Amino acid sequence: MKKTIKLFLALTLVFALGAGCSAVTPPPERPAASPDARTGGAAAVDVRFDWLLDTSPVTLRLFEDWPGGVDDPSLLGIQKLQAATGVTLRRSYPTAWDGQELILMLASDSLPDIIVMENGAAWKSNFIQQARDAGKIWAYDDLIEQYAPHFKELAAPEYFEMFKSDDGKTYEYVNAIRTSLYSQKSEEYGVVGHPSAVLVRQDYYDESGAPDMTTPDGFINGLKKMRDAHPNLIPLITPWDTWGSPLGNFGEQFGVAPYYAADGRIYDQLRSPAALETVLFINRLTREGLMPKESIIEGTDVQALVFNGEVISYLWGTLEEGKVPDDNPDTIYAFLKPLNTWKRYDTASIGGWKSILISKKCEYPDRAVRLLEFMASEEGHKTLYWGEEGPAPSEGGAMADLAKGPHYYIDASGKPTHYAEYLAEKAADWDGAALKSGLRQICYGEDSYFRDVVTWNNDDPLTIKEKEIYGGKIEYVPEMSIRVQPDTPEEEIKIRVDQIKRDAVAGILFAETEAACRAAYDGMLQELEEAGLAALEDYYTAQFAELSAIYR
Amino acid sequence: MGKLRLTGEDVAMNAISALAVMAVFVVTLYPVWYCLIYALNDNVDSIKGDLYILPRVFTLENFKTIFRNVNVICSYGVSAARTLLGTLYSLALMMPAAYALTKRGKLRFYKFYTAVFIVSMYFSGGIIPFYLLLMNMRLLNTFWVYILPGAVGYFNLLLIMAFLRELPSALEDSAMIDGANVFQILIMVVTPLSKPVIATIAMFVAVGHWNDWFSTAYYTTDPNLMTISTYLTKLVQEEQAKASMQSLAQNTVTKQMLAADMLKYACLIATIAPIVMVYPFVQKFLVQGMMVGSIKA
Repeated sequence: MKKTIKLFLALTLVFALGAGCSAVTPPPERPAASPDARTGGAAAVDVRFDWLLDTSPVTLRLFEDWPGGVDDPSLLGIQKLQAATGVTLRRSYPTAWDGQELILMLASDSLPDIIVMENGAAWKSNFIQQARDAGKIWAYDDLIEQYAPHFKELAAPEYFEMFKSDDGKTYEYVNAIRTSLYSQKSEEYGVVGHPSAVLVRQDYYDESGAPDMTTPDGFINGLKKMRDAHPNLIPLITPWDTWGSPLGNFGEQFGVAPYYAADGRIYDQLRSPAALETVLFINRLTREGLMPKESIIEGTDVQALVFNGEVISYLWGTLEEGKVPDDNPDTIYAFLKPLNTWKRYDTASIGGWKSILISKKCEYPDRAVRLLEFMASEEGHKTLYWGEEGPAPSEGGAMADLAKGPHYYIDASGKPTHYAEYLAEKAADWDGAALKSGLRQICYGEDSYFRDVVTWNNDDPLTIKEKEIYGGKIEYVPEMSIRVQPDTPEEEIKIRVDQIKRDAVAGILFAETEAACRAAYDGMLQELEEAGLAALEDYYTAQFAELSAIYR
Repeated sequence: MGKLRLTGEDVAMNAISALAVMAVFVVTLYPVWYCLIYALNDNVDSIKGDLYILPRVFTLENFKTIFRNVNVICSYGVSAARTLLGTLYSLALMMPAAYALTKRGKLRFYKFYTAVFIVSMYFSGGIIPFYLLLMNMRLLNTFWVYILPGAVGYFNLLLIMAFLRELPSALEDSAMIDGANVFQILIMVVTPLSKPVIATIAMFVAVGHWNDWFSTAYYTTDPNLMTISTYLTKLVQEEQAKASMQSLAQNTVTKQMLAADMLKYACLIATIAPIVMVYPFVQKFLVQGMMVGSIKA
């Protein structure tokens, strides 16, 4: 009996301890591809388009680290891609945006064929570095040389120059960056994009005598006048996520460049006199009660307050113009002329939405790189962004049907342009229009120029107003597209520097006197110095020289 | 029998107690009520805020959005199955294990077992080794990944042991004299007397299973294995992603985009409602079972 008890108890415990151990069904395996299946159609293809070399059906697995997507093979965008390249994309998404699944896939050697990460993801650099060092991802240079020699002719050079790893190769394709082609064409067509701007309630602005707010004093006086007339409202409000440094989104108002160039060296932008001027201006706003602490809140809360009409003005983008507050349907929020000192410097670091990697687990790396080539090319954008071409409105052209098109026409200057009807449908129901038309559903190869050119319309009143106000004040400076390589001492310094800047925001902006503000600002610069900013600036200077040699 | 006369002090104490209980009740219930109001209010109207007592523009649209997709039923089924099966499996392992660990003098390697349990309670290998273990065990992307790992928690085991130690040993002795073996004692004597602690632990484990989104998120990719909490999380994310596409592309925000965020309140209600409904059925056992936490194991 005693033995039975012991045996039973011991078995129970052993079973309990090993509760996690059991084998069940093996994971599904992909069927091996038959080499015969790769039926190239090379005889009839346009040799400039590598993706046409092989359009036999294959399936590529893509993992995107941003949650919220749906793997729906019936999406029109997926079908268009399939029809053009033969590739069926099967996509998967995580539940949380934490990069954890990527790490697990890397550790367990189960990466999908294509990996897509948000360019701004905190884990991106480390992941790429680890995957590269472990030999788990392809360098685009190798794939392009072997399988897609025309890729570099079809995509802007910045895609392959800006994101080189320290071994000189490019492992990530970062889409939607601001390219030289974008800047050149936008200048040519006279468009300025949709700059950040202060939007003000038109009724209050008119009521206060439409003051000139294009100087710091004018801005403060104008806002004060409106605040005095409506003391219960918040005078100026901004989303908190724009406050990564004490400049917030006000830097452009004083023409602060991404880096401060002086004496043949490149410095952090906060060392520039324009940056100090910006900070003192914001501090004046806070001291005058025009930007109280509750002015820096979550972006969605900013928007809710705007819809409720509870703010006099807010900092966002020009495209916000026309928003109607609930308490007065006869007015709108309209963007103000910026300060006279407004200037924007565009670099290739602007934009950059998704970073795309091709894993070495991919059975068809040739098809993967050609798929990306297609998506990044003008041809790909015609299929995935522009839609069907039709006659110009002057010749009676119009969008007949959202699904069938036509969706765009070629204007007198030769520029592809979406029909106004299409843009209206898109603005009214962005996702619904995408579902019906299949356009803007697959965005992995998105190029900023090919994406935007169809939306530029010189007859659009907002475009005209933007051009009038901001025209000639935007400069493209690709040599300032500086990147700090991951896992380097400079990256460590940069992380510390960014943290110091973030931590200093409240103390500087909400200082009770100008002297206190200057002291807090100097204190921050001192801290940055101690964190090794000078070494980082040496790095900036060297990279600036390299980029200048390429672009100037 | 004469009615007990309350003194002024008693009345005051009763009033204070009633107020305190009411306060706890409100503090506990109101967040759920707040979610319910938003879940039942029109999303665009909700942006205005100031919803505290009742919906302003009543609608069931949020719940229709949730239940429009047939997959939601499958996800409820997966959650229910893992909760039921996972709880039964855990109890089936923990009851005998706890019983065994209360027999200190009779159990060989007692210290070894205890050490292993204690170490596993305080330390883990981390997510990557655990993931690799699951992968090598072929548990990834199977239903069993919900059930088998983590079936035995030492904390719960301690609670059961504490309860079992309070049972009179004379009961077991007399059963043994009557010829019962150890299995019979466990099943026919100990288990029926342990209903309160079983109910309590079952509730802990069941709630853990029902709320767990982590296993689904990281250890499965098959949509047929998606639990309700993960499904609803994904649904909210999907709606937000749709809304944010326009915001990202045009740097502008519409009311519809803000409204998409309100779906989360309905999802919250849809997630907690089924498990909350179970509480009343086990409440009488829970009251006794909760006390075991105060006894040294």
